[in-house]
Amino acid sequence: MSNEDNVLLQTFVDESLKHLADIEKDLRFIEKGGGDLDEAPVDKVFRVVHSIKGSAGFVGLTVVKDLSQAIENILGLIRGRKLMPTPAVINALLLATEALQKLLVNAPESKAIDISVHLAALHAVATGMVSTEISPLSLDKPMQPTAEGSVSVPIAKSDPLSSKESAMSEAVQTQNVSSRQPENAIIASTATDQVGLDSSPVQTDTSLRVSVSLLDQLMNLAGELVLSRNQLLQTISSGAVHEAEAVGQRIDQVTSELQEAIMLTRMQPIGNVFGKFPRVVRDLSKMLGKQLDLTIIGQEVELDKTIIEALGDPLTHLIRNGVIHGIETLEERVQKGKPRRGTMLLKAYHAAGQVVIEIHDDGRGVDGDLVAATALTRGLITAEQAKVMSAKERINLILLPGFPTAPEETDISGRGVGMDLVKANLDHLGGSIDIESTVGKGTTISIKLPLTLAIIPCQIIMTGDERYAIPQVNLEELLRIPAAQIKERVERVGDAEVVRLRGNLLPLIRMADVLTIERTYYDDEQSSIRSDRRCNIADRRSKTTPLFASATQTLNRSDAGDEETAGRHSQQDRRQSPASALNIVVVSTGVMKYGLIVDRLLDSEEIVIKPLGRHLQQCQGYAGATIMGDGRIALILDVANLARMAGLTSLEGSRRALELAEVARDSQTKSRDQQSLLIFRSSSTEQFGVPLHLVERVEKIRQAEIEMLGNRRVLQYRGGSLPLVRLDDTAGVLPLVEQENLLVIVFHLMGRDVGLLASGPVDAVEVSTEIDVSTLRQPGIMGSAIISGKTTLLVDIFAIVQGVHPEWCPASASREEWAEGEYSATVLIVDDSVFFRNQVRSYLEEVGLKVLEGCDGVDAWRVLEENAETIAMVVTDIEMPNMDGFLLARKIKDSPQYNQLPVIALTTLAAEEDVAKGKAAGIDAYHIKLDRERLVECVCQYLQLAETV
Amino acid sequence: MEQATSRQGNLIELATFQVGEALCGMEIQQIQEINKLPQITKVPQAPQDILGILNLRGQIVTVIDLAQRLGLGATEITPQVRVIIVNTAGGKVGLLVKQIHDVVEVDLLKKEPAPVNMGGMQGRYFAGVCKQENSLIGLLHLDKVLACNEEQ
Repeated sequence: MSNEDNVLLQTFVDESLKHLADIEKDLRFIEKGGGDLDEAPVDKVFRVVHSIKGSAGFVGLTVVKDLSQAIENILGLIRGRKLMPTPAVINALLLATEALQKLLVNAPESKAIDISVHLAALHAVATGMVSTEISPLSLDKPMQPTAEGSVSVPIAKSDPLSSKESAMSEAVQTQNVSSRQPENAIIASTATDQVGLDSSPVQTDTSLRVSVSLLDQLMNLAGELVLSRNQLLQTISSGAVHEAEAVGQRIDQVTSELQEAIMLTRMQPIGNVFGKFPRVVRDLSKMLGKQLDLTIIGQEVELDKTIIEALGDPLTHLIRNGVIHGIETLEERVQKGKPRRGTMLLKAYHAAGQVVIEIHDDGRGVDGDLVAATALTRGLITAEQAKVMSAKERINLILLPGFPTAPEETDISGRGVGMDLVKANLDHLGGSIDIESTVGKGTTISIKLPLTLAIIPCQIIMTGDERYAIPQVNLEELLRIPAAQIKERVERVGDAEVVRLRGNLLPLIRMADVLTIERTYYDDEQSSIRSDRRCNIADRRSKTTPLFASATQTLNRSDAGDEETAGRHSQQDRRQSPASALNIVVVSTGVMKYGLIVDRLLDSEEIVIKPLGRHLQQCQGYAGATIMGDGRIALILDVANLARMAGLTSLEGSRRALELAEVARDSQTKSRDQQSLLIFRSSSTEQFGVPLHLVERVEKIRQAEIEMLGNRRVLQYRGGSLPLVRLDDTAGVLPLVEQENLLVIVFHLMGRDVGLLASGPVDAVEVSTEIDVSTLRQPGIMGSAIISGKTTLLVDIFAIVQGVHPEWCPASASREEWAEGEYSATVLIVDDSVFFRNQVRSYLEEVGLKVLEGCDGVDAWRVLEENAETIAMVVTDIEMPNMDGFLLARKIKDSPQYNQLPVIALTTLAAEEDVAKGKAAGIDAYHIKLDRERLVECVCQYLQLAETV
Repeated sequence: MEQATSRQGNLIELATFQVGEALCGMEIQQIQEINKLPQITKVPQAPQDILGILNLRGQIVTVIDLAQRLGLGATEITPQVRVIIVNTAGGKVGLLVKQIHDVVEVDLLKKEPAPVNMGGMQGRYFAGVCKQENSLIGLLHLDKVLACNEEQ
């Protein structure tokens, strides 16, 4: 046996023993539960035994494999509620797992050990004929060779060591009964070994290699720290306050450097884990008769030691799964016209302060529909849930416990169980897993991990007078809904509260409710915390509605006692005051996103995680605690568990998730034409709007800061001059109001910053109202809309700037070019919104292009067919009825006639996922609605390309 | 001679304190320190007898209201209350007591088994009682007091 094999075997044995270590406790727990089955421990034990079975098959320990297979069968029956975990059943399992431990300790000789007794016992249990020889606990005769069950009695009561010993001696006796004499000696000798081994639980490395230079650096920093401390002491005793500041800074610097250096000592290259995979893949593929290459990139990426150690298991499982279920057999590949050799790519890299590990294979991929169907038949999801799930959600269903992946069973990874184990492991590390797959093309599994578990950046929030920390990893965004908007943005779906956020519905959880503490809110004006008596966030108690009026009255009456003196500003007033705005932390748990309502949002800080004592282990909502700058403690929230506590789960949950999904679809249809606008004024009466995404910043300035150079206005801004324009420079609107304080809305156009002078109040609104593009149109104004009861002119900022600085506009240059070339291409614009079509049309016509329009994918295809000769390019929206932009692009790219046609997508969706999806559909370029300059540039570029081709 | 050493060996020092109305004690060796009640951070959803957590020079310590733990009502927070920090296998734990009393020397040989009920508290939490001239000290069985809830 080669050295490599030995190492492999040893790793397997160590791992398995570690996993088996607390299996007894879990089994006991299952037994205690009896008919009232708790699935979590059963799942856990099942996974442990399953992974031992899988690995044993791989390293060739057939006896181990057989025994664990038998155990797994029983557990499967219990999990499927086909078998009651009676004491007799659990006893048989306990004995069998103990035998398994023995086999593992003595792995090289395991083949020679007879396990038929256990197999027979397990078989008897499985077939419902619980053998009396095994089961009766009442046969309390500890050392009687035939009564195997008796050893469990001491296990349950005595301390582990002696129970192991008695188990051991019993085991020896069992072996004695069997006929094979020579092995008995081996077992007997190993028995004592195991006792020694088990009394000290298997542990991971407790020592670490650190480079001397790093150690020197640490020493140096420690020296610095001592120096700074001395300085501080001196400053304090001399009472020189201004010097204390400098010393404080120095200490700050030294401690952060020290912290970084210490973190470095814990960092290890991920190659330590990756190293074993080439062999795993080689052996496995040879065994399965598959041909495949594994490429590893990013071995040098470093991660915290604890993370590296914990990554081994899940990664091995994923790689093995990839080889076994992902990559097709040779014949299958040839048949499908794929290269004979499959490829797998294992890649690690840094991204946004996290480490990403990607496992990609070019195998058969995961069929989301099939997965959903299987989940359905297994009762993991309901038919309604299956209906509303996205393709990605379907694929990710394989992460649910008890999910089989492969249609057929293979020797090694068995029924493909274990993705849930992988997910559980990664969750534990604060990581996330995401699966993307195309049937027939392959699968990419991405794992995101934090660099370290010791220090993490967190958002600090406050609820009920205590501070809490939410790890930045989980944080998506912070949202504050002003009191006045709560009514329209927060809705109720069943018993759930949801908020509209950019057209999507986000479920809300009140932190106070989940933690069952009193609801409070923070009053900014009085800097005090008050208790909140609203039952619903969007309580619509309006005086005009008789139903609610009576509710208000009763409520006021009940409040009267303690509110009377505090001046009854009436419930209505209080809700409209800034204090009752909602502070929402939008968090994501990997599977789902939700909003957590808190009293106050504080700073974001780097915190050191400290564990909670054992008495608080049962509190699920916390991941630990940390000590804040003022010495007080803040609890760290576990957002995934909070969601679970609030009964909010995306996959397991239910009616609520279903309702949310339905409303989300509704709102999507409604919000298709939604546009975010920044509302402002120029003169004091007219209201203007400009697309919010064009705005870089809004700054407050004083009139006196504006400098006039000739007839141009500029403002000193961030070390440069910011050219300023006014609406009335170009458009025929009332002049800018003359007042001391003005606003500058900064845009980034044509490669430079431009400021538009305006006056307040400013507001950001989402509108879906009809936009009138004709009535009030004029240079610099693209149209009008009614926003909050007022006619609002929509500013065409390009035209405004162009009117003042015509020389800036690159489009005018290209227009001449086009004119010179006497070439005028035709572009097909596809969008279901007339407003956007007109807008894009005007942009493109301005640069001398001809434009045809389509109102959705189907319509566009018709137009395309009719004008096949002339159309040189398609600019399409993504979200459209009948046929969306993705489908249209795919259709175009798939047709031999049009596949050369460039397709540019114009959309409000520009998440990375969407871009990737678009690319996959053959979309050549992606643009956010409506950045005229980039769009025009891009159109010209592609037209030129098309021309040269 | 032998008797002398054994008597010597069985003399232990007890820190005594008041829990509810009863006088309890534990061996002074088990105690790390005794503090006034500092700022406590409440832990929502924690078991009722857990007062919260406190910052003990960078370590997070769970504070248990001993009276409540032993089945009496919650301890009223007065200036006299103290937190006794004890070292256990599972880390440090703080015990909130109503008041601290003297350190007394007792002879373990004179220890008597605990009654079933002692001032409203279950006898199982006590390792025994020691008689003083005019008082009775309940000797706390720390492991049993601090055992996690699953067994209770």
